Amino acid sequence: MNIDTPDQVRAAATTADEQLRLAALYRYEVLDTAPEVAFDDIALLAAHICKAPIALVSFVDEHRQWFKSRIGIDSEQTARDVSFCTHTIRRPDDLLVVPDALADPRFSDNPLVAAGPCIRFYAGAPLVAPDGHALGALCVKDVVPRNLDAQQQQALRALSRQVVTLLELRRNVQERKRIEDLLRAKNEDLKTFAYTVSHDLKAPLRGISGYAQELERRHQEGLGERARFCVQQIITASHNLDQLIEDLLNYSRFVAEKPESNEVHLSDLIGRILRDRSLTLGEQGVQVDLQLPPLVLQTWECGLHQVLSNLIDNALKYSRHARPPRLSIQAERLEACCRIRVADNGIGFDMKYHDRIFGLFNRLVRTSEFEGTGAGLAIVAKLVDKLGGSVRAESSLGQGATFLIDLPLHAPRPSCAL
Amino acid sequence: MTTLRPILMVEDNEMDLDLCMQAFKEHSLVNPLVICRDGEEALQYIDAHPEAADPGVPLIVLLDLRLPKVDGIDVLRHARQHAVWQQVPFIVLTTSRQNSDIGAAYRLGVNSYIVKPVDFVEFTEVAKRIEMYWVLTNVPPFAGP
Repeated sequence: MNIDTPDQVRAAATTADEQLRLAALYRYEVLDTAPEVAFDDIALLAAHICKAPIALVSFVDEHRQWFKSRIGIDSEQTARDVSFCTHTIRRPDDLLVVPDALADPRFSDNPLVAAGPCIRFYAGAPLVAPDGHALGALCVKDVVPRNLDAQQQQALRALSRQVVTLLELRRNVQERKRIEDLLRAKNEDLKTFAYTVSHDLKAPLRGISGYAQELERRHQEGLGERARFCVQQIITASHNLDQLIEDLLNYSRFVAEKPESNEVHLSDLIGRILRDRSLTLGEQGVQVDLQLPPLVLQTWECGLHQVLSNLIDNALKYSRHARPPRLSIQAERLEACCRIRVADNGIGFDMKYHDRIFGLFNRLVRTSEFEGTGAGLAIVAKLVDKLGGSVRAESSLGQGATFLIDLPLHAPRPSCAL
Repeated sequence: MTTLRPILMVEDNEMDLDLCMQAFKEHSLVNPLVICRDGEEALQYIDAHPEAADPGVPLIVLLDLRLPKVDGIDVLRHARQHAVWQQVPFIVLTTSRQNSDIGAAYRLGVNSYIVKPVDFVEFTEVAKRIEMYWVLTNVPPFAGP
């Protein structure tokens, strides 16, 4: 039997290994925390199975052992150099059983044995982390000399593994909360940043636009034809920049927005979107064809509203020159999802650009042909992602375009929508 | 002949100020304009003209929210705690369309909230409407006998 002298124990405490072991212990952020039922229950089971009056979930710190759970004693910690558990952790593969502490030269003059609580019996199973470091021990003690039978030893080992499992789970939960808090803070930061940037960008823009317009309105006579053209271009460019800033702000707002879960009646939602555009539909003589069964989705209403609005607005814009413009909206319930189709008979696009059109500010047409900054489909893609669905398009040049959205019938779990 | 009460403008941006004055000039506004360049100047102005009979108490206040030193909302709050200035019509003229700003202003009893357009022609329209309504149509407090 290897006998560790107090000096050897103390010496061991200062090795590099010990530094690593302490680091491993501190990563669990368990020292000096409040009692938790899950750990207390394990101490309870240990005491009961081993028929011992004292049971401890003990962690061995640099100069002390600290008890996360304790049965049968009052103090929360004891000095390391009088602890039993400090011996237990030196052999992570084995139980430390001391049948009679008075008869054991390692412990016979220990103040907890010779006096005070008069501990005579100790059995401790090391708490070994997945990386191999022994953090402390699950131990039972008694005031009379005795032992543990084979089943009790096995139970003590099993319970010690449970303590480690608990520690790991607890750490994972804490880590996840930390990440969620960080993400929430970053989202808020993004929102604030976007608003601040847009205000700061708009201030000088008002100056550019304002002074150019003053030139145009009140100082025309002093300007030649070319100069007047330049002023016009400045005004046009600043309007474009204004629209870009608005769209960028919108886009970043949707990126940072947190989806909710609502009960959405699809045909009602689409009806509302079309009613909001009744003036345009009337002016352009659009033929609207709706095939909408009475579908009810559990989804993010605001997000879906924006997606369908953008698709419908695009359909109307690009079919403006058709005689007559046709807008068709269909929905069907497929096995695992709901598929919504928004189709138009407009200018269409070459399928080789399919992925590009969903990029932010990517356009296939010139601003002089069709207004817009190219943010609409980027927003659609971002939102559809948050809705847990997918979007794609089918088209050929001059033959109109169909956009297909597949949505899950039930909203995704909040955790994947952050 | 009674002297015209001034219009108080609290605005820090030089260009916005200049363009605003141009816009009012286009519609022949005759009331004198008093300018405060930041929130602190505005607070000092309020404290310097505490009596209703003081000709320095303005007809309306055009208040930007994003100001150096003291925020527009704090200027509004200070005015609303003052026996005389709580009656003076305040019009927020700002770039922010944020609900938090709009809510904060109305909760403090702002009379009107207007978002500054980038387009100057639109802005002259806004200036004209402010003048038509607040200067020519609205009956101000302390109108006198």
